[in-house]
Amino acid sequence: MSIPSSSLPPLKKLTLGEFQELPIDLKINYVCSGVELEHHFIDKCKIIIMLGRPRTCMVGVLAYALGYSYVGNTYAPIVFFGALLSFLWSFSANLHNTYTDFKEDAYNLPGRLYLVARLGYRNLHRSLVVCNVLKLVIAAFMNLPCLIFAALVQPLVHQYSFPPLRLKCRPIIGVWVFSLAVVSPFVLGALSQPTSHFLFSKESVAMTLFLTGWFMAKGFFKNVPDYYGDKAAKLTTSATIFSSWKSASIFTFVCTVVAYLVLIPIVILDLAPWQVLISLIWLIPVVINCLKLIAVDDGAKGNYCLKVDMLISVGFIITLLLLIKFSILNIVVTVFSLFILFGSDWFGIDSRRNQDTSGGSNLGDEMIIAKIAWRNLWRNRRRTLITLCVMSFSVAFMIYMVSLAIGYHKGIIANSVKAGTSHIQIHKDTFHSVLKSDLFLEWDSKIEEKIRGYSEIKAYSLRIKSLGLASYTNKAQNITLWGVDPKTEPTISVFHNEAKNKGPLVEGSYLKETDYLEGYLDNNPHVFHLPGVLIGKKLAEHFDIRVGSSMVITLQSAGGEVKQNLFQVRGIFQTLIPTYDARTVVIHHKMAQKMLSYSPSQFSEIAIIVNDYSDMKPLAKKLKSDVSSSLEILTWDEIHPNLVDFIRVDNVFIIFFVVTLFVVTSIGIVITLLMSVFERVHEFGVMLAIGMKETSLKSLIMAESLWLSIVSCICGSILISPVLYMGQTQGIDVSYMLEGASLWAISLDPTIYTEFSILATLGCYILVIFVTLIVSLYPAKKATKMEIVQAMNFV
Amino acid sequence: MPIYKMAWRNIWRNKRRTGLSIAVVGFCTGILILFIAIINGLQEQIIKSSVNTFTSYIQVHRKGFHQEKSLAGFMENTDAIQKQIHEHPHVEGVAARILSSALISHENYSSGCLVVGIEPSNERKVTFFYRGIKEGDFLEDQDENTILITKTIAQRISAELNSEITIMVQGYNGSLEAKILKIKGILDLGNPDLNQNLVVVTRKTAGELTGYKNDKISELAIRLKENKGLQKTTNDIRDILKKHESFSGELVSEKDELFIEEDLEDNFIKTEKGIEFEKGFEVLSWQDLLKAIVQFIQFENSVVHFILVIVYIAAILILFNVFIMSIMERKKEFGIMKALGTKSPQLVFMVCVESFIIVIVGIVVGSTIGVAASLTLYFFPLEIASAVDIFNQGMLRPQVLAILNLKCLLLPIIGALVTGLIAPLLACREITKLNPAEAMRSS
Repeated sequence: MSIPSSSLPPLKKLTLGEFQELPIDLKINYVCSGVELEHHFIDKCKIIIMLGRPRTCMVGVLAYALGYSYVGNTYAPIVFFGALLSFLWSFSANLHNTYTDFKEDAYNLPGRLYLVARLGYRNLHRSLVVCNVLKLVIAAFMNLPCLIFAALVQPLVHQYSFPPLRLKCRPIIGVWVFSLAVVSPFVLGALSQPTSHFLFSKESVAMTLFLTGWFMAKGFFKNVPDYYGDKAAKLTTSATIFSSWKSASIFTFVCTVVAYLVLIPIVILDLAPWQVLISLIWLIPVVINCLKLIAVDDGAKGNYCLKVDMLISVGFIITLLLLIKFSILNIVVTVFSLFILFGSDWFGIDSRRNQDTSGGSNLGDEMIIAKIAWRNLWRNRRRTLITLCVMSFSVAFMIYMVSLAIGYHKGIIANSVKAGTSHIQIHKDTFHSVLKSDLFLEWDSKIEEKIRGYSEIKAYSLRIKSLGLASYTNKAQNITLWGVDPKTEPTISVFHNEAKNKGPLVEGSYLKETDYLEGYLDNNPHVFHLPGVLIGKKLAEHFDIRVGSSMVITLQSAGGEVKQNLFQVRGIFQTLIPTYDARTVVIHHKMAQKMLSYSPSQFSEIAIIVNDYSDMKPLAKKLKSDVSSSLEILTWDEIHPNLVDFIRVDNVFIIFFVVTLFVVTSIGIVITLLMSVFERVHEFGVMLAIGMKETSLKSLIMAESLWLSIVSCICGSILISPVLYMGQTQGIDVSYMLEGASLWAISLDPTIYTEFSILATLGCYILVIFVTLIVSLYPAKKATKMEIVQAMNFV
Repeated sequence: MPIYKMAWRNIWRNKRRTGLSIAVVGFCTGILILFIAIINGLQEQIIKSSVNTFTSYIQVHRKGFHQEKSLAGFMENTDAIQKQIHEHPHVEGVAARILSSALISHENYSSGCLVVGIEPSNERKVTFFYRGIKEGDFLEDQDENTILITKTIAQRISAELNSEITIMVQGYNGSLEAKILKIKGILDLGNPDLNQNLVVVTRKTAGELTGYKNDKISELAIRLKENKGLQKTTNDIRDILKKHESFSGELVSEKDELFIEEDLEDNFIKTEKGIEFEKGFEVLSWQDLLKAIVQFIQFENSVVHFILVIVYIAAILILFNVFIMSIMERKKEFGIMKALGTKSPQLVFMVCVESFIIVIVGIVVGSTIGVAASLTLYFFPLEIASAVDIFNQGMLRPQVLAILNLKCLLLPIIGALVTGLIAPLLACREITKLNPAEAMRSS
């Protein structure tokens, strides 16, 4: 149907189809003539929302949350205003765009132009003004810095689309202004609470610059799909300055990848926490999508790439947000954003829909293949179920093994740290390996001040260590003597914990503050007080003594003379390391100082517990440079290389096991898929004969295996979750091993707990999906390799 | 019998599927044989290392000595016993030892340690720690006033080869004996625990220090020709010693000396236990002595069995799927056979035969590969450098070395056979349920 262009009455109501048949000029004329096809307020509002494209606004909201979390703000009601403001930021920019870009839209998005016609040209203008005013009002309501910032940036946003500057036509500066869609919410988020020292910190500036670069790359990307439309409209954008689609998209590709990679130098320069690097996992889909963009060379398909890129960007920024701060607020923001993102297609509230673009599209292919694959799977229900059983079983097992390994290894470290090793030990020279009594530290106010100055340190205690001989009647045992401070020692180790609290102290009590005194206390002539000592169970059994008995400890003092003293057993501890129980004797540090002829400020060891295990290495480095380079500063892994190695060997063991199970499972998957392929040879022949592409057939089979792997991931997780829960709360008791436990690197608590790790579980999923896809290549190849005629004759 | 022939032909109707099923069984069998052989190799090396470095296969003490480790637990006039034990066909060598804790010092440094008095020529026949000499020489029988110390202790007391050190021992009668000894050699025993503790002197020197003189010892260390007859030999030695209880000397009680201060009611003296030793001997094999390692190995074995079960459960499910498919494919065929009078059990039997053929072929292929890989690792073991405790039991450094034994072969093969039995039986329900009329109509 064609409408004679000259005879068109300007205010006639046109349907979308009729509208699309109009020549470009007439489309614009039609819209500008003041036509207003919708009369209901609700419909108009819906159209405004469609034109504002909420989907694209969510990045702004997420950026706001990112800025808000990044400077360490905690929840306050102001976030809702800030989020609304950030939302309106992109929203109004989109409305501006629609208002000024009739000409381009007539080429690229006639559907959007028709929406304006439905809404009415003047109504669009009105809503624009309302939006801008609302933005300033909200900013004013938040605080002064926000208002100033909003007022400063507002003209830029306006001039992005509007003449005279019409910044979007200037390729570079236009894209920079475009990046403000993310950067300004980020800055607003950071400014939301007046207490944050945002503008003055290097970290925030680095992040702002990163986001600018990152979103500028998105800007380049965004212009590529409009390449032909903009070219026809003779617009200068960052894309049209290139001579072809290909060169424009390659430029975009390079910019995008570089923008993501900037995170690495930022982290290296210590301007961002290291974990943000995890978000770089999104580089994989980014690269794939960019390559696709280079290949498509078509506006409609390019728009599809843009849509994917938008999803990736949101994924990236969500990852960043959750990595920086895993809080309820951020989870709520994430869920909300995802809802809008995926919901906007359902509810039809996006004006850049597929059907509105000028070209036809085959974007639904993937969906159709996924659907067919799903149905194919359930044609032979039992076979699929059994295959799923095998796969779920392997997935469940893999998750369990990985969780067990993580929990077990963490337990090894935690127990060994609690058993007295602590995270960092500071000694003089080579004290740790020789334990010579003349290697002692001077604990003066200078060191104390420095140690107290580190925020990473959770607790520290001073100890004295020496070799000696314990004797009782005619039995003797060489021992390692620990002189500890009963006040501070309980903050770094667990020997004060009694057995009923799952501690190692099985009999008696811990040392008291007065346990260094000797003689008749309080002028009481009846009780002779001896200094107290804690001994291990093995030593107690060897000597056959109990709490209250007395024993002799012989030491050689720093001066070389041999000193002996009588001690009374206060408590008996039991760990799972037999040599430790047989050789460790704990006394009060003042008594140890007396026996070793140390002055009260002389110690042999500073034992430090840090807040977080990841702080350990950096702190040791700092201590080395700050306190003294001549001291021996050992971290946990240097003190216990045997345990570190044990963990390594155990990992090899677990990898071997998981790989074995996976090879078996993947052969199982190949069998199932092959069988299902050969059952359908006839069917495939027909499909190929009526023109199905070989690649589509391949993707159909791979989609079937993808479904299998996804479903088995879900089933496996559900299957194993109660077991994991049990393992995490109750653990696995291996105490029946007794002495063998120490060879399994278990030192204190004979219970192995599993620990669920989201990251590791995701890793398992990715591995499963990856392996399944790889092995399905073989049946897929078999399916496409057949002769069509033969295949059709095959029954 | 045509059923076997039919089964054989049936499985080759779908070569690819049969091949993959064989691959499943073969892979499981092969990899598990290799895995168990490697674990087995590691365990044997750990035991060998520990037994040969210091522990020895069997130790004989005065009853209770292993627990108490006190000088009061000595054995007297053991020459006759030694001779008799030596005559046992399995025994390779017997060596007497004196064990006591001591304090050694050099310059201003001192360290507690375990002093061992050995008969150097006999000890060489029982354990290999003379190979651990890093500097200097091992002791000779006639050596006096010389000592071997470990490198860790040497470092601790700043002593070097030929330094003179003082050793102090509280003798069995309570008196403190001291001696100045010259360091003749420095040892590295590969076991951190021994390295931190052990010093070695000749039996004569130790006898003087402990007051044991020439007629008392604390331990007899026995080497066997092979590990095989360990339990039997241990029992044999027990029997030999039963006749010689009187050789253990008179019961020693130091009550008289130590109860002098009875009136003071000191805790010291109150507990008598630990000073007295019963008459008789204790004969302990390394399995009793190295409890920790034995427990470690037991636990490791249960982990291995667990892995075995898990892998085979996956295999069973896969084969089950394969048989379901192959039965469903032949539904019509089975329907016809049933209609012609073949009985369900016959059909089930046929499917089971098919399964067994697959499993047997899988086992043959898998165990060939597994055995070949294990043998490769047996002849060309991989060196590993590791600080893990269990690998540092002695001077032998464990390698990744696969040692095959019956267990390595049997466990995976039994697993595979069970798989071959369970999988078709699960699938065969389909056959018994089959209605010939319906099945024949289906396409």
